Amino acid sequence: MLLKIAWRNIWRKKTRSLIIIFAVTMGIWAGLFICSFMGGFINEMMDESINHTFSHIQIHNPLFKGNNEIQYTIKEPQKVLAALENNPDVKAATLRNVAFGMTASPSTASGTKIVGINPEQENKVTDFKIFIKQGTYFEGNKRNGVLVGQKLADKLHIKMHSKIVLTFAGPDGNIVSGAFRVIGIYKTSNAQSDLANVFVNSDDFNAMLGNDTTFHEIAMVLKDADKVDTVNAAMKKQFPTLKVESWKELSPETVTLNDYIAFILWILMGVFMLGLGFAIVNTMLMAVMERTRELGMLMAIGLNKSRTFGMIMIETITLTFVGCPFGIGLSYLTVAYFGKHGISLAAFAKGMENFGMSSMVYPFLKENVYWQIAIMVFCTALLAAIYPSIRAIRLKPAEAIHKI
Amino acid sequence: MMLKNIKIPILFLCVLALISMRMPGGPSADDIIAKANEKMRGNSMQAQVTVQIIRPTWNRELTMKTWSKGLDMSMSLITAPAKDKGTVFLKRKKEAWNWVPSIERTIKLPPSMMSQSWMGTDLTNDDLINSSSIVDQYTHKLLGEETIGGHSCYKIELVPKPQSAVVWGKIIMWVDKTDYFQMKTQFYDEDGSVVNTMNFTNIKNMGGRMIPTHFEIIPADKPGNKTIMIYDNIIFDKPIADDFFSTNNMKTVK
Amino acid sequence: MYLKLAWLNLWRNKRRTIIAITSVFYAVVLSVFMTSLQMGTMNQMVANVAGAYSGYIQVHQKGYWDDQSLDNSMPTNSTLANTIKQAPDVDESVPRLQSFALASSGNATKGVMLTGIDPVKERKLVNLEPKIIQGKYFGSDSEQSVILASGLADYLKLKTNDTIVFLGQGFHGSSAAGKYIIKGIIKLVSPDLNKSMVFMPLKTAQTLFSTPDMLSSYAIVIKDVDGIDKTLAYLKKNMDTSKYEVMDWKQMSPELDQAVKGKMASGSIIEGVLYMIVAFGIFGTILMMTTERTYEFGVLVAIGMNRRRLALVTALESLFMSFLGVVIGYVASMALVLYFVHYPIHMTGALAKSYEQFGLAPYIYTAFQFSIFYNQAIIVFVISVLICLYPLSKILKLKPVEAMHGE
Repeated sequence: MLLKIAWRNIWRKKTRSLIIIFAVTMGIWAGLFICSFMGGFINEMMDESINHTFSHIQIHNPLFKGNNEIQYTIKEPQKVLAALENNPDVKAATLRNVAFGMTASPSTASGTKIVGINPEQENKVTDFKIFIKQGTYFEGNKRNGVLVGQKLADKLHIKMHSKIVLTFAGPDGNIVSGAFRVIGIYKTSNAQSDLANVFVNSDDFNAMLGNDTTFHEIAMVLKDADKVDTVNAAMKKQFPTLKVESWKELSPETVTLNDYIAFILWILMGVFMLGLGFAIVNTMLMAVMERTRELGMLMAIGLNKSRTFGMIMIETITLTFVGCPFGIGLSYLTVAYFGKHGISLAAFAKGMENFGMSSMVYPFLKENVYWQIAIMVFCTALLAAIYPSIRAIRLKPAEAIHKI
Repeated sequence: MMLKNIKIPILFLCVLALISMRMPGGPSADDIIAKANEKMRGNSMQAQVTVQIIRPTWNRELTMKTWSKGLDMSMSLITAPAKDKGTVFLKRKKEAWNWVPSIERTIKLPPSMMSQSWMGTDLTNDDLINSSSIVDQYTHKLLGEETIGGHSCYKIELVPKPQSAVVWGKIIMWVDKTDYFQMKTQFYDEDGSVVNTMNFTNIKNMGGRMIPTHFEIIPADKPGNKTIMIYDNIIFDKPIADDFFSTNNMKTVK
Repeated sequence: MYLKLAWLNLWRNKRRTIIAITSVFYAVVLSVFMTSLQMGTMNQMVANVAGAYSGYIQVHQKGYWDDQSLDNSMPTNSTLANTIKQAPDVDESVPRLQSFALASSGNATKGVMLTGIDPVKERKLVNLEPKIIQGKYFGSDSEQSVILASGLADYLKLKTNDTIVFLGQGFHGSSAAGKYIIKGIIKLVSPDLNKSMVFMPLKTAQTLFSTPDMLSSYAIVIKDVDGIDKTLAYLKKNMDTSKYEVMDWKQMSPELDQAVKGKMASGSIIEGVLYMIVAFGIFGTILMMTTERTYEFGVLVAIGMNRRRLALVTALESLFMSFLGVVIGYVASMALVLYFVHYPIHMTGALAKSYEQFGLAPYIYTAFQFSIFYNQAIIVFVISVLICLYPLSKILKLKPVEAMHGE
């Protein structure tokens, strides 16, 4: 019975109902939009960190600390690689050599990390290829080709096809050097890393040392990124003599940044929900005032307090239910559109591109976020409706009817 | 019939001319370089050198004693100024060490130090260590002759062999025709721009040879910068034992 | 006359007026809080990077920034030091001498960045003491000891009381060589810095590099970050700019500057969304209020009140309500922000732990800046005034008979 009254009330007062529906729709849309916006940021950052730099998991010799320890190679690297390729969770893995040395041109020299890679395998693990601005990613199998960052090329006054000399100390302390030609120039969003990293073919690297089987690093990507922690733990057991680390261990800063943004997001959501809540409370309060006469009459003819309360709550719940799908639908469309075309921050931050920071944000949402926000808004609306409902039942029927 | 007779002599003359162009009527580029190197170093060499570092806003002077044997071993002991006195540089093949008396340490030069300037001069540590590579890392081609500083010189172009680990695009050397000492050397990058110039002047008879005793190194991209090395006296080919060039000896050499 | 009428109307129906005022009030408080949080996090970001090492402003010999070699260091100059001290908002000017050198121990050698510091003044910038994980901090500015970053100490296999040797190039090509005791080992946030930083007392460094009484830079600690432009202007005016250069963190770290601008951009978008929500709150309230008063308006017009006059009075009522809402909101939001300035939001769980490990304070800060309060108040006032045009249009179109039949 209550339901019937509530339902009729809703359609009787279209304006009022529309406002509540609209509030809920907007609340959901706002919440989801902001979440997707921040989600886009986080995505970009993780992408940067995982796809370009750390991959999901890396393996090293336990004594290798990224500090010139060229003698600490991985034992039986091909065996480990084979084991990884047989692992159902691993999408692709690749072997690398690492040395710290100097890159020299006729004008000057710079300290760099020299990384020997297997271009084909490497391309399955990272998407570094997209950073190549000039030249190719080791296409054509030319001997002694090297890939340098734009910032390094500028410092050394070199360009495509320039000759440079790479020098580093081998495992026995002997200094080895080789002449390489620039076959590609890359630019990432991290200028410091562009300055410090040069890439050569593993074969050429090992040829300099006279040995063809040493490797220092294995990097891999998993089929399912969310399984990183479990796979990492399993691999630590599988290879007890090696140091297995996930990107979370390799880059705790990325994890922290991720958590930080999530934390801020919670605070923001709190502020939004408060805003939404107040909007609904105020609107409903005003509505109660507006309905004083109507409520007064209802109560006079016998609608008791709890039933009145119930009626108003049901009205609110129903309206909220109606608003939800609109809100979710609108958000879905917004995220789909901007997710594809991106939102440009360029107007505000003209120089971002110079530093390789993308001035476009591509909103992104995981499915469960839709439900989380919808529920949050629903609860907010409900809570917001309580106070006005209480005020409604405090009305004195006689006074109410006489109101002007 | 006449034609036939003429053809053969012409052919013969042509062939003769071709052969004579190839004949060692003059030295080959390789010969010239080998001789120039031998001239400047001998089998062994001991010298006292003054090094002047010239900069737009300041100058500095060092004096040192140097010993070298062949192309692979050399040692330098700084004798002045006081703060640097006793510092020793040792090179053996491709490795180098530095003995610093004030801290009583011998430090092996890592790759990161190779491109650092040697003692503040316009030479890098790498230049000192790898100067032996001129002979075997490059192919040599005689370009012709030119007069430098009043001396008639062979002009030779040195181009790095494909696998040579040197940064230069090419080097041009002018070598005196009579006595085979270097008069001038220019280092080029691959675009053909001069990066470094070395001038050799003050030809004197020192240690029994006619050689330039002033070396001037001028980097092209730093106007006003110059390094001058002045040989005060040199002794050539006095035998030096291999174990003279050892890290132990660095601490006691005088 | 109309003013009086409007005012009296407001208080005739207290409940209604209060509800309307509170909708504006909430709008002001929320938007101030959010803006202040945005500013606070941005300031924090800059403080963690610029404030923690390079300082907000630096003074060098002219040409040093482009060619950071010892040959570009400046002799200590009391005139310059005084000028800096007298600049507005300067808390401390921290002198430094910096150069690249080779560190060696046993067979291991590594290139390092050696910084000569004034142990007392440096506390205000790179506060080394709390970062010490082994050993102690410097006791004097000329002791023959160094403090190493832990990554470097690991590589060279050194601990406190071991000896370390440095080799490099000093002033005007002279050699720099010295032997020192390791007094302490610190842990730095950035893994790269942690593998290459060495700190030495200033006078010791000056002796090592043959640069007696000379400095690479003065890093300036500012009391109030918002006043940085004033400080910069003062220094530019009062320094001999033919000899010295002064730079702020934006010039020294342009990437950070762009990152901050990017954050501001996204912040604006988020604020925009918030405005939509709070504007809606005000609108809903006003809409309901207008509907509630339709009967009242109908009666007034029916008995002969000029529509325009009614509109005017209602407009004045709206203005009063908006104004009161904004003013009360202004005061309340100031109190709110001030509260959070003293009791900043504490981070939770893993986030707090990581921040502490990085040596950063695990809090989110709010910025107490008058411009924030002022701007938000104005924006909300404008929004609410615009919204109040709705009731006006309703009045002007009113059909009395329909209105009185109400409900």
